[in-house]
Amino acid sequence: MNNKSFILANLIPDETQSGMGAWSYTILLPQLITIVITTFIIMMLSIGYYKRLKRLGPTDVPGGLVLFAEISIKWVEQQVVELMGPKYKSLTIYVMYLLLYIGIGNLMSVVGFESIATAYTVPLSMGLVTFIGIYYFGIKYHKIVFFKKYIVNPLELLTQFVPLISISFRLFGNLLGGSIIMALFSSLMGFIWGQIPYIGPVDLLSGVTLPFLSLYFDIFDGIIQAYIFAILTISYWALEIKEEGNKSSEERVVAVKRKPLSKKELKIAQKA
Amino acid sequence: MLLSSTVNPAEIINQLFPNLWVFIAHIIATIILLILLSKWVYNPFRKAMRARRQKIQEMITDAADKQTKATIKEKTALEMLTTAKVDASSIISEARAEAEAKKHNLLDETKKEIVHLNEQARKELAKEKEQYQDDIRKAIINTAFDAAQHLLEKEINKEKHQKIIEDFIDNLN
Repeated sequence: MNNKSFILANLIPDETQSGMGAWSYTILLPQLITIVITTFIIMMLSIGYYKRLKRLGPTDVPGGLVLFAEISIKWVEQQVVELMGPKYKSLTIYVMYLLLYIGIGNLMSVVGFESIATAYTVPLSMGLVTFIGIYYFGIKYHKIVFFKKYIVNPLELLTQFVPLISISFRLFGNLLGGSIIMALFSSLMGFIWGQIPYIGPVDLLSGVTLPFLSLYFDIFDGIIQAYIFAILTISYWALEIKEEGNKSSEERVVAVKRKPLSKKELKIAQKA
Repeated sequence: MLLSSTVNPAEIINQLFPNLWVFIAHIIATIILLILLSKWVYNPFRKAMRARRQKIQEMITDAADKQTKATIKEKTALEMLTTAKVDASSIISEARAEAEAKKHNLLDETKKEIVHLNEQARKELAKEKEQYQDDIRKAIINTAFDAAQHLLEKEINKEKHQKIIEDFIDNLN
């Protein structure tokens, strides 16, 4: 097999293989198209917002897209400031990116494309950013003390990867689980429909019931998972900042001003 | 996820394990979106908010200034009004007093004038009377002289005497 035919063989999924033998890191997945379309949609929305905002003066009343965008950005900014403090206000851009990219990417399944998060590479990459962020804020605020916990309790070496696995698999698993439930439900409806004699091949039962499931698994789940991913990311980072905030009075004041998620709230979010 | 994917375990495996093209596309999309959201969404948003906040602040300051000025002007106006009322009442009372005084003066002067005029009229009357009396006296004397002269010049008879007396009486009239 020459080099060219090897590459081509790796771009198409091998239907004959099963198990790990079917895996190839160079296969072209349908999520690629979703990524491109999602990026394009966000780009169009951004341009639309920017152009409309440019036309508005400081005394003009915003409306439509500008008003919706301003309320949303303000809300995201407020969340970031409440959790991480005003110093990290600029992280609003990253949280906005997470919400838009995951939210719109997941909603693409409504119009027939693959959800962006059903390729584990995407949640894993974003989870890695969260994971690296935990280390960044941990080392920045705790310095060498950050590594002390690994010496005191070596089990921490294992549990340190929990945020990465939980945050990425939550997103991937929820969407994959949703689609599996929908596939099973569709099969069940098809089976029930098939038991009724003298009925045509069109599965009307699935047609009637599946949209309601799609409403939950595609729209609600897609949006709520984007929100959870974004909130958990800044919560993990905020925890590292918060734990440090007992050194100077000035830092204590900043820490008091922040309102990170309580343990109860964090558990609820993790369960979702 | 599309239903077709879920029934094929090979596709699930490929979606679960890392994929190079998805990773590259994701990284490129992330970089593009982060730049784009920063340049066209978040920074313009903050700029617009800043401009709006500044404008509102200016309007509040302006309104506060105007209110302060209005309060000061109101106070001044009230003070002026009070002063004007006091001035007006004092002017009125002064004018009233002055008018009263002038009225009294005028009445006094008029009375004096009347008395004076009466006195003068009386004097003039007396003077006139005296003068007329003098004139009459002088006329009688002259007439007596004239009559005496005529008596001396002409011969006196009864008829002539009668005529002289009649002439004399006529002259008297």
